[in-house]
Amino acid sequence: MKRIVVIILLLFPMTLYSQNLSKVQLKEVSGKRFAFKNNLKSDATIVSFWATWCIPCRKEMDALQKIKEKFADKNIRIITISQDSPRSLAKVKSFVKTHHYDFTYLLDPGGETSAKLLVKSVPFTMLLDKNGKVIYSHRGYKKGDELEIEKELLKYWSKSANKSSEEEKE
Amino acid sequence: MKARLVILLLILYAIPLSSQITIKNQLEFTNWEEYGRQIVENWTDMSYQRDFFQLGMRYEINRPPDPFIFPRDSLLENFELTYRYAEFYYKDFTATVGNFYTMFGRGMVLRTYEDRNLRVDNNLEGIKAEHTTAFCSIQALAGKMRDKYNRRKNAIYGIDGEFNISKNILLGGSCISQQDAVNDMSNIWASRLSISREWVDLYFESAKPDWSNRLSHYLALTGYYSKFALTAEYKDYDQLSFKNDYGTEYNAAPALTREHSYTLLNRHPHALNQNDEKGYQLELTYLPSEKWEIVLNHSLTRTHGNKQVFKEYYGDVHYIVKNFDTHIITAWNYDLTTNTENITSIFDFLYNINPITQVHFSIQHQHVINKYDKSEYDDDLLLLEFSRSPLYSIALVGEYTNKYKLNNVTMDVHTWLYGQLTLNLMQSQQISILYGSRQEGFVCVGGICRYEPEFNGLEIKLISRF
Repeated sequence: MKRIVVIILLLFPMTLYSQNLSKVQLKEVSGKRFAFKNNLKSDATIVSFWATWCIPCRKEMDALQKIKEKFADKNIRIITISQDSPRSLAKVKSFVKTHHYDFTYLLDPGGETSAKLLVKSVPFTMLLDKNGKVIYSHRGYKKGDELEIEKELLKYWSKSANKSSEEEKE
Repeated sequence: MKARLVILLLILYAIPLSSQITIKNQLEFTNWEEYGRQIVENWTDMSYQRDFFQLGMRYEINRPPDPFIFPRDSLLENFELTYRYAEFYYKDFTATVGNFYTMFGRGMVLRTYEDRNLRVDNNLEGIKAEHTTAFCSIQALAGKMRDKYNRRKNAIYGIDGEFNISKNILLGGSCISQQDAVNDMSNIWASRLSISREWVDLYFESAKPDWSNRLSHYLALTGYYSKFALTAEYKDYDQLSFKNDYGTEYNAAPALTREHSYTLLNRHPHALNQNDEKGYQLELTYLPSEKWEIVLNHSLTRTHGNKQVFKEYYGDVHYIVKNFDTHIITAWNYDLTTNTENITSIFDFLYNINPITQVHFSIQHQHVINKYDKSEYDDDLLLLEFSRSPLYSIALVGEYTNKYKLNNVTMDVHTWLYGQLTLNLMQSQQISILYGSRQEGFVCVGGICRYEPEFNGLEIKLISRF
């Protein structure tokens, strides 16, 4: 019996993993339900927490759109999660309709999701792998911060390429 | 043998455990020179995630509690576990035990949230069950709400449901009941309708409390045409505020005044009164080209007796060309609380020196007319900031007022100046050091404002995330 317990204890750490968004479900700005687990097939997913009244958030959106255009050969999905409270919630769709970014817009007006992910300020950016695991995160936005995201993307793609070539060899 | 096994287990667990636990720590040290007072505040948030569950907690330190935020400081523990929860997932069901945040509709019935800048945390402690599918979303809960001293009183029970009755139409309803001291129940009910079409969106919510015969309403209508978007909102809140015996409000309906990011625009904010308020807000956004954006906003709030409480006209012209990014803002508002008319002009300018270096310059001017005695004064604020990504930013902020020249005003200080250095270290740490003096005013986030007294001293903030 003791041996079984020891084996279980030794194997248990293998099953652990880091912060993950695959369980997150939110409402899209159109009213539809959006489940992360069904939308993680892109080459990379960037998640940005923002609000309509947050000026740096809007500057970051321009930068994220440029990243998407720069790496047009890769399928990058950008998901924005609005932290607008009921006071500004009605303005989110105005923003979406007048700014033509190629993003998916989600709403978290109660801040439940951001609280669980320990996101306490906007803008806050996360880079996810294909399993929804957070591989990079960044708080705030200043001109040039997008270059850090680009570096992380290249690092992630290079790691993934190495991994698949090793799997092919095997 | 046992010792070896323990060491082996520790090694095996240490690496993956550390990679799946997320920790965020926020430390704030304030030294108020004029009061000779040092305050240490710290929040440690931790979450642990597995396939089918998540655990989380928050440990707070307030040593001593900030007297401007917690005037009855003896009520607050200096060290306290203020938030902990366990959440379980099974297919479309989620169950939470412990502390949680939630909102029904647009908050007319229930809204719980945390905003650290405002020192608001009115989480519920109890249980919550949710069922979400493409067709519906149902939530049931029971719990007690936290006040700012981490006290809880009166149990509440709530249910909320939302149904997609067609591709573009959503119907919902919610109710919360509070167990009063004498064992009676107070209830508030609400229903909502949302219609979403290609060129227009409509949201309507109506609430009816037990304690009043009056209904409260909120309506939002947004239309889009080409490069234009117009948002029109209407409110009528009558005896809507729902509080527990400690005076903590369960609900927070939309305030319908614009949220501002600039300091001087937040000097005379509107304080929402859910018991007697009606009004509207209009906002027009126009993007003539990629370089230009124009936003015009007007809001008006009156009491049911037709007394004007708040009125604002706001215009923002945003122009981007190459490495220049400019906002020119002008606003006029009237606020009954301070009984002032405030005319504000802002010129905000960003220049990108190169892809990672930026200069930020902002000049803000406000002319205030006191409606009591017709006295007038000006406030001027100047901000100069230099940032180099991802390493640091350095800012200098100065403010001047000529209010001291008024006959009925006694002011020792009329000039404030502080410097702020922010450093980003190893991707996961950010340290911000502020030294100097800062004018009193409101910190406003998400439409809720907290008064910050005049400050003179040193403030250090360290945010770490692992």
